[in-house]
Amino acid sequence: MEFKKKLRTRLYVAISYIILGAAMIATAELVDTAGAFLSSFGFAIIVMGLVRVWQYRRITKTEESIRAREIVETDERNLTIARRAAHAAFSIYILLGGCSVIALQIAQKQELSQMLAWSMCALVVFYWVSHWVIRKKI
Amino acid sequence: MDNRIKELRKQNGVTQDELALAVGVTRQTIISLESGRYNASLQLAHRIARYFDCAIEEIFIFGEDKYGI
Repeated sequence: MEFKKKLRTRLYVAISYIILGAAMIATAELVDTAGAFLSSFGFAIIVMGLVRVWQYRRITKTEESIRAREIVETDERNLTIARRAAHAAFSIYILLGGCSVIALQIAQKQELSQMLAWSMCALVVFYWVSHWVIRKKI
Repeated sequence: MDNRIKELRKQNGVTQDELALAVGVTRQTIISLESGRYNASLQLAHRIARYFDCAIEEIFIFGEDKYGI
């Protein structure tokens, strides 16, 4: 039952994406300065929403398909793989980001370098805050 | 960690798919368990033991670890 609720929540989120995408396109049409980027982005979000709705319909066709999907999403090996991949991505990002900050400084691109440095700092702060919150919970 | 999952599975005439469905994991996880590439959590080990009506120690072979235990 819990997993069915989770799937339904995803359906509502998908519908929100479609509404948000439509709003972006409408805004782009009404506001001259919005530009093509907003309407393209809105279109992409609508497509994403439609794909999620289609996925929901495919998954919820039968009880067996719901159960199969639940197993795939809660399988402990899959969760372990996802966690390790996220950790690896985080480490690689910090390493490459650090090198990029230095390279941008050398190339005299101060603003870009600072933006990248600040985003990396924010990521590290988010990591430690998440770590602290999760440590309190478990 | 070594285990006897494949042996018990064949003894009981159970396919990897059937075992996976019964204990709530994917077939790939069963394959990884049998080949020793992945170690089951305590919960999964317990479910597998209950499925085969055995004790955990009869299925999973605990060798001496780095603490000498």
